[in-house]
Amino acid sequence: MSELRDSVAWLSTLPLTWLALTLAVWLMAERLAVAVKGHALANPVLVSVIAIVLLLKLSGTTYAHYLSSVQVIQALIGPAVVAIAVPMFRNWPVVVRNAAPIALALPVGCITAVVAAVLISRACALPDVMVSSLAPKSATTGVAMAVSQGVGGQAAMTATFTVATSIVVAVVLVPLMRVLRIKDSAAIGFAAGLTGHAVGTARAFQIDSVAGTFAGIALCLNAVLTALIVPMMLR
Amino acid sequence: MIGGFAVLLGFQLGGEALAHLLHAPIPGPVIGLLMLFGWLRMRSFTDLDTPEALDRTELAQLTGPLLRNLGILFVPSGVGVLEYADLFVARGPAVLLVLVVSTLLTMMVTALAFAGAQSLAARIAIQRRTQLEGGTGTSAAQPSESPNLAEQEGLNERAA
Repeated sequence: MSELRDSVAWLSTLPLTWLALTLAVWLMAERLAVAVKGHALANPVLVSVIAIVLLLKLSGTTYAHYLSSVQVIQALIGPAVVAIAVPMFRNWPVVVRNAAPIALALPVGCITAVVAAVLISRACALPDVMVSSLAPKSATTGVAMAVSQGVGGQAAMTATFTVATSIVVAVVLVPLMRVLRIKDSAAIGFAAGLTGHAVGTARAFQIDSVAGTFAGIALCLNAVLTALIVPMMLR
Repeated sequence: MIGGFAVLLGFQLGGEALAHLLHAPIPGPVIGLLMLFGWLRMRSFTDLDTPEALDRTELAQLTGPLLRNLGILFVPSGVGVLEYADLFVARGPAVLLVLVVSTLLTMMVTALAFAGAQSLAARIAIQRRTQLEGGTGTSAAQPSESPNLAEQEGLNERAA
């Protein structure tokens, strides 16, 4: 019995274990999503995150160890962002046709994101450092962290809020759009990418490649606009 | 597959280098995305002139599966959120409230603005068409006008 416990403890120190577990958990989460017919709460990212956190707690593994074990997964984020150029190229005629909606929805959405976050967090009497860390939370993580530090926020806190926001977007996207009776892939994708950057874009790519393309465009444009607007609003 | 990865990493590297040189507030991969897009647009006049030609490239064969499984790449950072769970606990439900309400509001406003602009653009296009028809309605203008209109009407249906 103690030998078994020893080998489990040994296994949990191996980077390979966490890499393999992350893939296994993701595959099961995807199966679950199919089994419950894509119910919003069975979002594979959310389910996988909860499962991994439980496994880390059970095995007494630190987040730092987990992160260093799965670095190869995170290293793919950069190339994956570059890869969005391909569906953007393929769907370019649809993008050109929607130039006017993009030009309107981008500033309207970006200002709503920042103003809503600042006003609601002030109304809840949150400290200034939290207000500044929440303001850029719809921009992609790297940009949000830099922007937040520029206005007195805290980078780690911002990263947390930013990722949490994108998970909320991935979970509510489809039910919310159904309530709003919006069926156009371009509109759904744009809202997902503007509000929920990368995980929102990942969710949009599961709908179709047009939704994914518009999410990718919104992610890029909103990163730039948020970097301009947040310093203007909080100074 | 390796060819596809080489292209992606090459453009990411170019983007990182440019972001560093220009002190741009935009992440390197986003600049790499724009550069790769520009390169594909240029090639659309030569070898990538049809969707089938694009599908045959190693790049497209890699990006399809990569983007369909984009979600798993964010599982590690998602786990990091729960690592900072005390942030949410410390301020009670206030932080959660801000997160959820402002996120829902932003999604609603963005999607409605987008769909609203779509149906407005479609309506303007139809109005312009009826004005054209009510006017002289030269037969020469007709063939070039109709395919465009068909697209716009399709847009209107989807927005409605």
